[in-house]
Amino acid sequence: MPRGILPRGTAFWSALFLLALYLPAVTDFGDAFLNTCVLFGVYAALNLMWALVMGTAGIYSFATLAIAGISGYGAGYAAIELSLPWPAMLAAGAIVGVVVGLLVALPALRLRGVYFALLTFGLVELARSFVVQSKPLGLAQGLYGAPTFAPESLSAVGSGMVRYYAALALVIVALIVYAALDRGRVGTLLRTARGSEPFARGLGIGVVRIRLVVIVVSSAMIGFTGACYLAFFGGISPTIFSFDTLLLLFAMMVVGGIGSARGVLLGTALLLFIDQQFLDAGALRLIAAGVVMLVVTLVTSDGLAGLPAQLRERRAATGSLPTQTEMIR
Amino acid sequence: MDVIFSALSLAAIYGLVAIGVSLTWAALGMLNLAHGVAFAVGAYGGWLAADHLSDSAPVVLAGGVAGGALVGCAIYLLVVVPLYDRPNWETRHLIATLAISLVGANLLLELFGPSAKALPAVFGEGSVTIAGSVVTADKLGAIVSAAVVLGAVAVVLRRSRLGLGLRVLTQDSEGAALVGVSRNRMALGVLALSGGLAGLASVLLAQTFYANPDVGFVPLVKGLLVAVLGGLGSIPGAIVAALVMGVAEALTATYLGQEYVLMTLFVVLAVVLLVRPRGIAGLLEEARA
Amino acid sequence: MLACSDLRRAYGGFVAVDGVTLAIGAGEVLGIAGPNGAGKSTLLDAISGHAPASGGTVTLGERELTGLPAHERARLGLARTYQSPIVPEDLTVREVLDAARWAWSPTLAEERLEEARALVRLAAPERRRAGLLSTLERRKLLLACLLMREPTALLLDEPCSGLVGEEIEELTEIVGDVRRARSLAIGVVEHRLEFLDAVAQRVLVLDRGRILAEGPAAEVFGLPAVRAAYFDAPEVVA
Ligand SMILES: Nc1ncnc2c1ncn2[C@@H]1O[C@H](COP(=O)(O)OP(=O)(O)OP(=O)(O)O)[C@@H](O)[C@H]1O
Ligand SMILES: [Mg+2]
Repeated sequence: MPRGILPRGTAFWSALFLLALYLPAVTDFGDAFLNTCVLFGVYAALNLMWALVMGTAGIYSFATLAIAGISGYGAGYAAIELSLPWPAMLAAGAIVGVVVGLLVALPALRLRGVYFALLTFGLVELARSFVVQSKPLGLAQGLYGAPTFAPESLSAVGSGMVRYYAALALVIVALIVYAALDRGRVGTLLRTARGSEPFARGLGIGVVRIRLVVIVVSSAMIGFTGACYLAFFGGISPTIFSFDTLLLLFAMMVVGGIGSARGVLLGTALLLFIDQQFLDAGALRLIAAGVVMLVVTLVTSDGLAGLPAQLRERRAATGSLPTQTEMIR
Repeated sequence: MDVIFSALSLAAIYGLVAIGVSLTWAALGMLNLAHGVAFAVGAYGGWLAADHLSDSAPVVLAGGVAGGALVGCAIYLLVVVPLYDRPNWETRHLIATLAISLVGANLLLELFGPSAKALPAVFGEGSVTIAGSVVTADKLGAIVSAAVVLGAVAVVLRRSRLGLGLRVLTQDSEGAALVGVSRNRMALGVLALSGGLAGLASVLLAQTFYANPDVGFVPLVKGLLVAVLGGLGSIPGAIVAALVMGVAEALTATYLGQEYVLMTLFVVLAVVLLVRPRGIAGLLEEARA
Repeated sequence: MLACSDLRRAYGGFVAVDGVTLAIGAGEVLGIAGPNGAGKSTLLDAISGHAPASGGTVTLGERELTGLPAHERARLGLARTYQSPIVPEDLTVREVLDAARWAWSPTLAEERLEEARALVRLAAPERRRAGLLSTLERRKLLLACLLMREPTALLLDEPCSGLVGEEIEELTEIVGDVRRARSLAIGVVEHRLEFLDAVAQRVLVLDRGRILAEGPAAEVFGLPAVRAAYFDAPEVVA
């Protein structure tokens, strides 16, 4: 394979970036479309971090939304009580994220995959039952009145643009964090440990430390994103802790493919589109998401974005002699 | 005394759900996140049977078991057949079973609507007084029948070919293939059995959990908790864990309030797992050694 | 020099390694043989820290390793391979080599990677997934990763299992090359006696967790006690 001057994928990402940059100029934005774009930004950022933990590091964590929600609630509550401006709220979100992430990390480093998955499932439910019973956090209605990105003095169109570009910036920050931890030294070591832990330890890789790093960094970003959600919408409600939301985000991540940023963005866009299409269709909405998730899982081994590689490998396997890999344990 | 009876009835139900989770894990290395669907479909199966056939206890119970077992077979066809032994099975089975649980619950919502359906009390409306406290016939019936079924399953798994094959599989999967134990055939049996047990549990519990589309969620979470607390793959572990969790839940609900139940259960699980990463099964093994 | 003294390892009540004392000098190859289930792999696990020992000590040169976690022991210069050739299957050959280069700071220079790759004659294409490599290539890949850090001791667990004639010859040559180039202490667990005969100066026979005999290969396998251990074992060894 020839190696270009620019890293692989530069053309793809530049094109995508330019498209996103000029999108507001070429289409006229309805309120609904704008909200979808903002939601995409939040979901994409969360899913990228989740993919880092679950895909790159191979830690079966379902704590993403719990961390996002707890940070959002925590930062929002602090911002409302202390009348903080939004930048302080975002910082608070990141801090709460790190604290919750560290609490989650303690068992992660000791427990086997499924055991940990379950414990984190529980965390979401725990957070939900706590929030809906807490008066200061707004019970089932949610917490409102948080500071937002767009100042009140701005026109409707102007505030729309501010929110749009804030969402774009959020996705870009998440992509940078993703790229920094998925490739290069940290990513390679994480994926080595995921592939075979004895192998990694045999090479002298400090598996525990490297996993701690990914959990802390991703949790900070997830907490930050949780606070961004409030800065976009002015509030947060317990639905962020609902099982359906968790499943929807999980579906987004796995349909596109946990293994790459492209896959995560693709899956997020696809399922968000389906979700919005069926918004008024009640149960059909989640049925559609579930069916897509099931079909993609049955057909592809690594999500839609992994499909080209999967086909290539299959062609190679049928074209040449069978490999020896499965012969020996 | 009241607390003891509610603890026992909770333990009985959780035991039925958790054993399915544990068995499936032992046979296939699969955490069945669609187990809640079996519970929910079991409840509707019981309701349909009572509505269309007869509301005598055996018919309603059979309806529940059949509904649950059907879901087990569906999971076998949709998840195990296409995905087992393929790349990324560990992740993909989680995704597929989650997807089924999402589709299942919402399909029930589409078909039957959001309102809860009441099932007939299979053990009648009466009550008995034991040691000074009043126990409804329903609760007593649920405890006794769940205990009987659990005992029967445990015995069958010790004696039968299915049980033997299962033990061989958990010990050494390649050796099992050599002596002719087929994981595939075993899987269908295990999933149908697990589903049936969940369906049974849901009919037994129908006076507490009315049949509604989301009814499987809480039992799924608690069943998973109990199975994991017991140590996945261990039947004795699951039974002990069901008792522990039943007691913890009954005590919490009585003295602290229902809203703290889940929190207590998680704290119990977290503490046990942090001390013994393999759960109660690990403790049992050490006690034996 | 790698040494362990009175090393033990028990699973529940079953003692798999029962007080083993051995020493391997720099530049020496020690063969470790014994019937199936004798505790050879468990011995390596206990030495390398992959499974904690229940008693006894391990030293590497002047350094006491007892109680350290596996990755610390690796950093101090103790390398080992496994009975099944485990490599992270999803990664490419290049990524696996990079992981070794980056495993802990300081990062190694590219030349060290090339040197190790040449020493073990690893020819697999860099972009191939490690999961698609043959058994021998996987073993070479793992060896290259380990040798990059210039360990002072190397433990090999059944390096010949799953290999055929020519491959075994190549591996014999590689082990010889490594010994000459690096003068490290090498311990080889192996069932194939002709392999041990070719690479090892000294052989130790393990049976039921204890050392049964020790000495030059030709002598040791002639001993009646050793023959009895092999014939009493449930499986006959080639
Ligand atoms: N995790 C474990 N739990 C309980 N017993 C174990 C465990 N691992 C190994 N054993 C037992 O310890 C003994 C030694 O096993 P070990 O794998 O070290 O033998 P070995 O000499 O390497 O055999 P082989 O030549 O087959 O590789 C065996 O009897 C085995 O059954
Ligand atoms: Mg061995």
